[in-house]
Amino acid sequence: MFDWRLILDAIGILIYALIVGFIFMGIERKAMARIQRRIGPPIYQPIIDTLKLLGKKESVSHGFVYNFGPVFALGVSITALLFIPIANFQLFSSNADLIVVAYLLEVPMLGIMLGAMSSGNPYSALGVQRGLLTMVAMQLPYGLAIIALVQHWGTFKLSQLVALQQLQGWSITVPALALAFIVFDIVFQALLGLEPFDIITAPAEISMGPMVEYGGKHAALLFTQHAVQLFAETAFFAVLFFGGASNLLDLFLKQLLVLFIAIFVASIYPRFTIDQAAKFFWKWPTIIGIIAVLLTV
Amino acid sequence: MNGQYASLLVALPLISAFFVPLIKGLGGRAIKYYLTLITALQAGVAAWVFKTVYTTGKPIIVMAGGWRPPVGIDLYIGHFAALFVLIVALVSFFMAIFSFDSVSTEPTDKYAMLFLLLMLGATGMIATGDIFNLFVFMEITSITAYALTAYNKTGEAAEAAMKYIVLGGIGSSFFLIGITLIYGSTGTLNMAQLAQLAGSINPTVIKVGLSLLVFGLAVEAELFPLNAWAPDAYQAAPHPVTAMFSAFVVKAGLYALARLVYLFSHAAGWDFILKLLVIMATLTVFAAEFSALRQRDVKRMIAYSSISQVGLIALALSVGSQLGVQAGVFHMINHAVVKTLLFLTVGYVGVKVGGTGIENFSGLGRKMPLTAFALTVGALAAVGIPLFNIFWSKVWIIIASIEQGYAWEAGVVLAASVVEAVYYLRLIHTMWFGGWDGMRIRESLPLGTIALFLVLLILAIGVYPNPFWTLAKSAGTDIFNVSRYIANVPLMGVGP
Amino acid sequence: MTLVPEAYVVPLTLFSPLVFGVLAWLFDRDWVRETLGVIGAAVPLTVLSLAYEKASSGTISYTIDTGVFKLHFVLNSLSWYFAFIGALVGIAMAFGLSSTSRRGYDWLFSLMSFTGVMGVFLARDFVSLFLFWELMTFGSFMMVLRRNRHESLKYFVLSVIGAYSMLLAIGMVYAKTGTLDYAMASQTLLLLTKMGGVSKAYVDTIFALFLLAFGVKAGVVPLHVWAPGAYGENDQSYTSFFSGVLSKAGVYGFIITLFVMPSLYGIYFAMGTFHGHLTGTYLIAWAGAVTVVVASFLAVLQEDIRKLLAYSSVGQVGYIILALGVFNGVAVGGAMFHVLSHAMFKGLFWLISAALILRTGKTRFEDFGGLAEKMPVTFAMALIAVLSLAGIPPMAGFASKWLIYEGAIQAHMPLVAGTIFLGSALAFAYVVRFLYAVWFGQRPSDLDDVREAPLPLLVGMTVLAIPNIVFGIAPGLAVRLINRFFNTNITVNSYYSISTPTGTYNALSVTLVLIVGLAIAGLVYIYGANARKIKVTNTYQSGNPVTEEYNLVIRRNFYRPLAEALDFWLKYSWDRFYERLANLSEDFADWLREGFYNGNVQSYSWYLAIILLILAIWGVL
Repeated sequence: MFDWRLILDAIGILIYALIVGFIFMGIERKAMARIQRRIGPPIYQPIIDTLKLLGKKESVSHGFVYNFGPVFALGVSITALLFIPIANFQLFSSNADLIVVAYLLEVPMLGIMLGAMSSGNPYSALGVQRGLLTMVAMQLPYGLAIIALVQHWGTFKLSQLVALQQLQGWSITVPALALAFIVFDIVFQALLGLEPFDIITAPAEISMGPMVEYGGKHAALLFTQHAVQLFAETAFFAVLFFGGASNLLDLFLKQLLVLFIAIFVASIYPRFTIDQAAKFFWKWPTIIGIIAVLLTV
Repeated sequence: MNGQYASLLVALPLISAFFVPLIKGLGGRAIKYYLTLITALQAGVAAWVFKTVYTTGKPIIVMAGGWRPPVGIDLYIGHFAALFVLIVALVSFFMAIFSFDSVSTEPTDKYAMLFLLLMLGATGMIATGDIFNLFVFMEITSITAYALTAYNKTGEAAEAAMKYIVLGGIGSSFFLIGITLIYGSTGTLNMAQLAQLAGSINPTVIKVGLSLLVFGLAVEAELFPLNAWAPDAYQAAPHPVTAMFSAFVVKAGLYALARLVYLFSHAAGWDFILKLLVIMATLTVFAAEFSALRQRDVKRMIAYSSISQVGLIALALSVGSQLGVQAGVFHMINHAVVKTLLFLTVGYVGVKVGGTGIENFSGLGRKMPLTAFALTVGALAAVGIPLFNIFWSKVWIIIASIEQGYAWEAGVVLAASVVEAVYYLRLIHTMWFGGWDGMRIRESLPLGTIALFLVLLILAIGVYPNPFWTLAKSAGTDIFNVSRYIANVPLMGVGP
Repeated sequence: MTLVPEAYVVPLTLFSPLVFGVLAWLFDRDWVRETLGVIGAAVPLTVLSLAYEKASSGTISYTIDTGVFKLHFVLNSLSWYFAFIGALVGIAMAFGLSSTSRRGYDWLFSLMSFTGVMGVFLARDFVSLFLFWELMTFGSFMMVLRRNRHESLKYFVLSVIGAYSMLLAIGMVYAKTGTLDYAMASQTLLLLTKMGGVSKAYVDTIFALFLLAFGVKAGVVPLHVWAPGAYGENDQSYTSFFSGVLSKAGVYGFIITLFVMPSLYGIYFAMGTFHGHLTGTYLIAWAGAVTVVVASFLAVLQEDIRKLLAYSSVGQVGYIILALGVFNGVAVGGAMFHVLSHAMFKGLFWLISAALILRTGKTRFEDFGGLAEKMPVTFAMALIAVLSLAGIPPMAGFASKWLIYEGAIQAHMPLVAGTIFLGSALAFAYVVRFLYAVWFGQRPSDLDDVREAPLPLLVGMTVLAIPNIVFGIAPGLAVRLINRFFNTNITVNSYYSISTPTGTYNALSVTLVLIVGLAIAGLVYIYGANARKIKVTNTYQSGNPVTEEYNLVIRRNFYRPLAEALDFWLKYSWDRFYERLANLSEDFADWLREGFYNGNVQSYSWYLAIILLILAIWGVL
């Protein structure tokens, strides 16, 4: 009844994604440090951090929803991951398409917010507010970029998108989609929570935002979630614009490319305030997005 | 019974009016009882006439003095006249009962006389078949109306009556000139013969004559902009009289207008008159509804509402199709019922609570529940809510207008109806949800019965309109179908 | 089906709510009233369930002869679908009203509007449509009238404008075709348009008037201004029906205008196309898109729970209108599905709001807080409703939204689809606001003795919550029924999986994977150490301990930055526009009256002279 091959694939990819996700987190910190002429922590630092957090003797909780929030967030991230075609592993991608995945990539934020809200800390509340507003702001360009992509290729199915791109060349090579790429890249900064859109956590301003109350195993869960989410989002980007990948190494390289673009942009820019971010998103990215969309109608 | 007894419709009120001074000595109550008796008798005769005409399907023609028309004057009581004479009589009867409570200014004997003469005038206008006779009855109606407007002997009443006299007088004079012109060119005063000869009259004469006739009647029929006397007169007159004005005096004017216009349907330039009437009617509706919007006095508000409904009837009558005339007649019936009820209840509140301003209606739902209920039903009916009577006639009028290509006018009318809905809603809200001062007023039994009867009639027509619609249809055909009218009248064949 | 003879199906469905409502009003005694009302709402549901087989494969017709007009009703799959949704929300409303209302008045008018809606859905000719439409509006109007005069006036005026537009449009149809039955009128109109017997402008006007009439009810911007007030100033259990079903009557009207009268294809030929889209429907799609954006933004900025839910309703119905305007199979299927899911989750939301207001007596967010512990069942229901509204798989809200996305993008209406994305994000935002302000955080001391919602309300909530989950996991069920009356291009692979020509959604697999993911995360969690529960005020305070009175939550102006970002647009308000318009009309009225009926006899005589002049000129010429 069960497709054992598929299940094994899924578990394998999951473990792979976890490790690579942590590595990406480490690369992020290392690269930022190097740019800032520091040495920075080793690349495997996030793994060590997470294991340490898991090993803590006791953590505090503010109730059922507080506990459930990170669990939910991680669960949804894993779900989102399993519906993206990773390299040549189709996983479950035939059962849900682009829109489902795009949604599932945003839901973890809701889980974190649920948990954060139940903690009673005003910084969390502020973080939640800013997170939501960021999401509101970036959703329009995000949607437009995706729409341009879908209109051009004429399908929502991710596996078909990959196949079409491998036949006809990557999305970036199409001029209209190049514009969509620019928009998506800007939005990607916000999705990852990097400058200039890291208002949601705004370290040194509101003390880590929604995650401020979390410690111990909750924080470990959140770290894990961030790792999985990072992997899923970069893979999603690669699938959409760089033609997926034919094997894991190919995918890894493309993800790194995407990640580095994000890191470089993040290291240059300061932080936008939330209304500046909203106004920004609704101006240039939206306009470029509209142009892209109209070109592919 | 011989059809000639229908002449009692005219004779009875006339004679009884002049007997009133004899009863004066018995006191005020006796006069009012007398009034009730006479109107009841009139209602009885009218009912008999109605039954005869509608069961035999043939009109009753009463020839005055036995002379055949056009030498003599004839009364033509066809479907329309039979129906409306009944309505006139019934409304007068109800208002006579209402006069017990609401009319207390002396001299009540003159009031009774004028009341009976008003009823006579309207009945005569509807029943006659001769154009000069129409003028005579119109004058009787107008003059008694002038006097009754001023009856309450306040400054406001006198001023209203004055305006009415001036405008009505001008109108009547021109009406007379119109008659003269037409008589001069045809040599006959009988309506049926005029219809026969309509096509052969000199076009200029007929145009001028017809327009003067229409002009004169339009003042009485309250069309814009000639209806400026109406709001003042309605407000200042005693409450029963206002109800009568609204229920049948203006209807008589409208009927005469319709009758004359359709009689001359073969005349040159007929279309222009119709178009003019349509425009005037639409403007009547529009101006009256908007004027009602900010009124603080409920009686005046309902007066404006009445004027706008009259405009709607005029619109229906002037679109020029059979459906239009039928719908207009149906609306005349519905409007008469609703406005009688409204003015009855408003007047009653005015008498018992001491004034008709909107503040007197606050909390009426608990002060005088039966009256408030009747008023609510009347208001909802006037707005045109489905399941009440006016809805059906309004629908038919809209359809008739659109069929004849007057869709814009229909749109304007509906827009004005929105305004109507707003101010009636305000009234209803004030009555049921406004502040109540805790008093409870006993309501009179006879008036309550009348009000309840009218409410039931409204609901009956609203839920089962078919029988009444059939009535209205035959009455409407009566006006529209001129050739049948001519055929029914036994003309002597004396030419011009 | 054998339990209820065919001839009784339609009359029972139509009239039992009204009859029982009148009975409930007459026997105004505790428990008698509630029982009668619930029975009255339960009858249509039972009858419709039993009639499912017959209605979905054939039709059941019924006629009432009033003499002047004949009223025709028909129960086919389309009307069954809408009527069933209405009945489902109706029974939930009845349960809710049992707890929140102690007045026969409320029962009478809410059940009256129930009958009205059933009549609207089952009507087959314009007269029945109009009569029952008025009945429905009247019932809902009376519910608002009792509580707030100004709002009821707004509702009334806009409804009357809608009703008269409908009347005018029906009159125009009747005048040219001579018939009032949908099918016959449409065929005649089509013929006339093709042969040139009817001008393009005439048909355009009919179309516009119908849209005006139905748009008012559905709450399309700019005709939505009555909605926040009318939905808010009302018994909240009734609002679940008001917002959940009555707005769908407006949607149903759109469907009639666009589909049941196929002749309005004549309209399409009359109105032409625009960049490859039919102009008429393109306008509708944009109207829907504007509604979604405006209403959702306004919802985010609200401080009162009822207003937030009201604007949210307007926005969600905007989704449906948008999808209808996109006008391809997938989108229309999505619109129908969204009718179902919106009725379910919005009805549930309003019942929750009713529970909150009943137990706490507060309506503004700043007065709430920390109720998750006190009202756990209601909280669970709220979570279900939130997940469904935000469109999170595997709830019903997601399935319908997914279909609408697919349809809009397939139809090459990218800008419209972009607004859907924006609307979804905004929905996320205001839903989270709702959760945070009401259920989490510190609890104000005056809410310390709040109890769980009463049982009838909870039953009503469950009635609405279950379909959310069921249709979310098994969207195929709903799509299968929708496919019977519309030719959508959605293939139903199985109960759990639906696919369009360009995408697939297997709800069951998403659910299973989600459960697996949660299990994995749960494992990680359990692997960690114990968690010690602490009080909500015991937070990271940089070493500064706080007391209970210290306010730690942000409940007011939660989204102020957004208000600042939208500062320019918020200066304009539709509501203020209408108020100004109303004042202008009143001033015009006064000016007209004083100018014309000015009491001066001389001017009156001048009017006479002018008319005489007009007549004279005509006579002489």
